[in-house]
Amino acid sequence: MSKLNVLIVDDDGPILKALSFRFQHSGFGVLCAKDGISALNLIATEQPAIAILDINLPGIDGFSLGEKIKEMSNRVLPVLYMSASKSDSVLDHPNLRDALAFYEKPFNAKELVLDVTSILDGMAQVHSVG
Amino acid sequence: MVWRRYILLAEQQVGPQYALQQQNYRVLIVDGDAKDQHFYRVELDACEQACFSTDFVGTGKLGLFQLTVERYDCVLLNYLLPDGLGLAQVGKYRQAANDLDLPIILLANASDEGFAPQALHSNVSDFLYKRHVNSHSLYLAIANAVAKASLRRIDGMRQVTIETMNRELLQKNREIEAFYQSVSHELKTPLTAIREYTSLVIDGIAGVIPPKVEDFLNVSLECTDRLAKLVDNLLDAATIEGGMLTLDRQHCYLPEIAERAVGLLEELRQQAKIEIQLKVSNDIPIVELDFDRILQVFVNLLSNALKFTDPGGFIEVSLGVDRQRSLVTASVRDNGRGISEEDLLLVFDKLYQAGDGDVINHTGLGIGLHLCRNIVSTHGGELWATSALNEGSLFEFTLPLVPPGAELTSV
Repeated sequence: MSKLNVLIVDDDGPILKALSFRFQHSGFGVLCAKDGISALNLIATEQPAIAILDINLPGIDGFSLGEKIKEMSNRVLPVLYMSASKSDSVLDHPNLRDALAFYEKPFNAKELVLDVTSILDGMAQVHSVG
Repeated sequence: MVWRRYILLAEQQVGPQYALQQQNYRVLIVDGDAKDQHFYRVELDACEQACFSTDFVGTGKLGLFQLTVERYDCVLLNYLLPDGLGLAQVGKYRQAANDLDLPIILLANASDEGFAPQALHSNVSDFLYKRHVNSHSLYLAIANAVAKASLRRIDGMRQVTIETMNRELLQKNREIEAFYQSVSHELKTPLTAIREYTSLVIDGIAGVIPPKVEDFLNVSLECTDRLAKLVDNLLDAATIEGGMLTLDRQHCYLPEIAERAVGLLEELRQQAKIEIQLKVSNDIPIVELDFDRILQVFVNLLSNALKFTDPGGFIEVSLGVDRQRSLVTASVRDNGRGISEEDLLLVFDKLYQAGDGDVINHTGLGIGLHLCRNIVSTHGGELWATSALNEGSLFEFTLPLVPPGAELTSV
């Protein structure tokens, strides 16, 4: 069975690299993007199973990217958010209230991997039942 | 009494009317009766306390026109005019003069029915019966009305200045908060990478490491988390100082918050070898609180108690309700080192830190208790401390059963 791809979008290189190591070590394929446009291109070509988006991104911000993902996907692509910002504009954003999960940086990435695993397992069960 | 003597001297030298700076008033008199017009002129000319320059018009309409072309200190307006009630002109006159505080004094004959009650409830500066009018009463009424209008204008200007300053301060606060948000974001981004790389090495993802290295890296991880917390505290302090703290009130059960705080500090408690006991009165109602903020208060008070109590010590968290004062009460008592009388006065200050030089065990920005007090007071409650050196400390706070400004619903 092929590996499930996790799309990680963050403009901070070291964070992107560290999270990639963590997911690869946990048996996932990893797609990395540093901005929204690259992320959308990867979604179109590589079909990731889940997306983890930083909110403060250059160009399209994480919330707008999440909306575009919802619009463009012909299948459900779960989106998780992460941010180092605790401003009201982030914490009170309606997209965050509807999000599957939000991780305030710095966070324990092992918990993120566990959450991603359980979300994807849940989706796989729904598909197999369906 | 020096000033009084000066006035007397001035009176002797130049005559009483010039002892103080003499006022000049420009007055518009609106009255359809030529005899009354003449009477006012004579009385005003006879006045010794001030100089009056007067214009006369006979109708309300002409008065309106006159106010658009000339500027007056005061208007004497007759109650009855040939073209209608003088009282009906008050608002229009002030608009025409482009001065909402223009002093207008209404005059009437004793036979003018309904004059007094109408004048009382109108916004004229003053009203007089003609039979009481003389040089002195006219002077007093005009001088008083002009002075009152002048005070209102100053008051209005002050109000505008205060509002402008308030807007500017709020803007400044927003800018400061945005700055702290930005600093916090910039600090936490590299912390995220530091934390994760450390964690990757500890987890053996970069290869097997000796146990000693793992121990050291775990300390490094703890310090990273502590640094992240300090950045949060700094941001909180800026938010609270700027008056920007908004509470996310929800129905909460205070014991649940206290239990959560105790749970969060369990590891620290075990390390410190200190017992924590929670005493909860069984009639504590549900209260509208910001769960996370009150949790922050409990965590802060308990962390302090753990820090300043020696191994084998004891901490008691008590929760109760004071129905008479409509409050829930909470306290954290320890049998630790206590706080000296002079330090007790300072513990809630923003930059206070326990100064015993023990920098390893006593870290922090010294803003924790300051934050706690602000969080509690934003809820409408109070936080205070009692302590003595070597006799432990007691931190108590109250929270209103009903949030300030809200009606009592179900509790």
